[in-house]
Amino acid sequence: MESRLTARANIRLVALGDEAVVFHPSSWSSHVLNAAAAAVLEFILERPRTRQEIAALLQELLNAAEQPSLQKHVESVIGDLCIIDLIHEV
Amino acid sequence: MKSDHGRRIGELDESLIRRSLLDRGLVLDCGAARVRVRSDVPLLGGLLHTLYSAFPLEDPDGVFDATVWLRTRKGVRRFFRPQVELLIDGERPFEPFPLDTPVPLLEWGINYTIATRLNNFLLLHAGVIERGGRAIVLPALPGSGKSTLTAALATKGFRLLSDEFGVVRLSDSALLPLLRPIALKNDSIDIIGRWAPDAVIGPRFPKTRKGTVAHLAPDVAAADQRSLSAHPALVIFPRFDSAREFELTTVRRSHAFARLAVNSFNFELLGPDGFDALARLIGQCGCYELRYRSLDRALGVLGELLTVADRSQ
Amino acid sequence: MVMDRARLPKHVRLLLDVLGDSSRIGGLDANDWDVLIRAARVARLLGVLAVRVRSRFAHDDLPEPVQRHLKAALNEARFRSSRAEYMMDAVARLLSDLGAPLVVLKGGAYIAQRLPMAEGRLLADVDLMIPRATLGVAERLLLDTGWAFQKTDPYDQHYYRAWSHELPPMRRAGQALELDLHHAILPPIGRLRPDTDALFEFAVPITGTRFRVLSPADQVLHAVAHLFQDSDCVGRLRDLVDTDALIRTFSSREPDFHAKLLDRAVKHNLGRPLWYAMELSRRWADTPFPSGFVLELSRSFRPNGLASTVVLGSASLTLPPADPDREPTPAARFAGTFMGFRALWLRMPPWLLVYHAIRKGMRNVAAWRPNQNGGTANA
Repeated sequence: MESRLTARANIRLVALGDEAVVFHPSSWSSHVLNAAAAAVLEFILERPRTRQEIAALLQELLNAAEQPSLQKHVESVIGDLCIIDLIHEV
Repeated sequence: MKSDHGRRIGELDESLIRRSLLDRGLVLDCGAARVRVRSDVPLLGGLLHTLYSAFPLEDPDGVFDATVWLRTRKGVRRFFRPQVELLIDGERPFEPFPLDTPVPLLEWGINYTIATRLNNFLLLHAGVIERGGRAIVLPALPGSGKSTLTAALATKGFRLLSDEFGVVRLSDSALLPLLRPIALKNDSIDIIGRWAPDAVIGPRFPKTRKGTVAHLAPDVAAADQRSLSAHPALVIFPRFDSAREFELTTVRRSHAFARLAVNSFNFELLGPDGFDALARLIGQCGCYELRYRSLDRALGVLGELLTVADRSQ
Repeated sequence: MVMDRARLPKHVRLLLDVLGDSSRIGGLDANDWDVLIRAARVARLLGVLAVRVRSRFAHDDLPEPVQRHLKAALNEARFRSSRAEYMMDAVARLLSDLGAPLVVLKGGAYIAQRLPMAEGRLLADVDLMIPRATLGVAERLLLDTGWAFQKTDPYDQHYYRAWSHELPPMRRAGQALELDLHHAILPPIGRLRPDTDALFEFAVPITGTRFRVLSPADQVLHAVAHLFQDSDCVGRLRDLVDTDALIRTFSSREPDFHAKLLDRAVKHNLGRPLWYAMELSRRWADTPFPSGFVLELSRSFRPNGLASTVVLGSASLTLPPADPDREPTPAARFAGTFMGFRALWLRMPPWLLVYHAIRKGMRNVAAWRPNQNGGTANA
């Protein structure tokens, strides 16, 4: 069974332009998310996602120049969202 | 005293104000908060008569957001260095001031009280003015010239809500007035004096912690509308820049959110409610950074932006 | 003796009346409300007042300026409670490897047990008690993960470690409150010496958490001990309100609670403070006590006439919040000094008292002298 990234419960996510601000319900800290991170978090909030699904999403969003390092971007975004404890892996 | 109700503080005799301060107190109804002031400092009556002249005279009995006691310091020292101290419900938040500078102490004391108590609203550290029901939020940052700009706007066609506090209602992110005299520092005093010769500016207090301070009294229109809210339309980060005629750049909304959150008195304390209210506010606003050196030009630009914002809502 | 409620200053009377029965707000005029709110604020009970008033009256039925005060206080309380829970969670995970019981005390305990009285409380910090033997390791674990001591003055550090029952307060970035790590509930060299082993022995785990809390009776005794024990006795009405709430809650949950309370008071040598607390609580909060309990406690622990008069008389003057509009009267100021001295007396042996006083005096003088830059340093 492939692992999935899941979002914490009770996160508040508000889109502002193509970026977003997000509220962590336990630490009460707020964060600014860039477009990629915002899209990925929104995606995961719909339901738990595999890395493959996230990569597919980012592939659509990123422009041509960024494609070769797609995997790096995927790991970077997932890593950041994990560090601020908005998502975790199950 | 009852027959004076319906009048403004400025219409009273100064001696009456001094007596009220010594007795039950003088009410400063700023809109979102009402403060009752008591004092035995003889100078204060005349100063409040000037600076809060447009404010209504109200009954000193009732429930207030704060009761502030400005009193002459007792003790042997008063013969060498007369001092005034501020007491709020048994607390003394500041060191005493010289007796001849009661107003800066009072104003900072009221700021402190509001900033620590009014946690039923989201309190931004910002000036707020409005026109046509649409408000401009001007975050306070050192060196921004925010107070000068706020004062300039307030005296030429815009209504002043507040110079220090952006009071945001949690339910709908509307901005509420917290009307107070605007503290002008150093050069600003002359600049505004020339800009608006008819405006009432109180006496100068030299040698305060922030240099020379004088206060611009809110006018009758602002005082009469102190209960009128406004919808947020613009967030403007001002920067006085003598090298630049004028420059307007858009600020990313997410960044404007972060800068306002960090520059707020109680964003963290309010948790999810503060987050929601601020996100909603930013969502309704255009956000810009404005570098200017001419007040005229700045006003023109802000007026235009406000008109555009008006049309697009 | 305890001052009769009717003779208390208006602001105290109003506060006790409304806290005791919130339906009494019906009889308040605007001035009364102002006095009540200001007194509650000084006593740090505005949040508790808000909860009790709002349990009977809808927000919109209250005068508008009152709504503002109460809403603000509830927001502040919510902030502190939620931050306390967040901190306890983080600390529990960190210290779980200790293999030692983690007993959370006071406000944190009320929150962990989800007691109704926890609502609206404005707690200042989180108090955690662990066995003395594990204190060194725990301190290391905390310091290694970003926690730091607030008081770095070597004298204060020494004072806390050598004489006190707790380490100096600790803070961490990202945590809004302070953490107080205890190895006992009262100073080990004080005159009141509860049985710490017995506290741990009877501690109760909270399901779903890694924490324990003291047994209900011990929680009451802890609150009672602090009613008179802490050095700033002035304005500790809040501790009395807590004590009353704890007794009511626990006695409604356990049929033989009062017997246990008596039992544990004997075990911990806290019978005398319990008697003082009972007297105050009966008169000022109408706390119900079974007559058997009152008789038994009085028989065993009621002090001689003069002692009880002085202590209860002083407490009557110092426990309530000061009138927000006035300086404390000379009598109250003296009583405050007496209670403060007594508290210090209870905490420290006489020779240590003298040393403490001299050192504190010296520090104040040092703060007075100008620093190198010509200004005066502030202590």
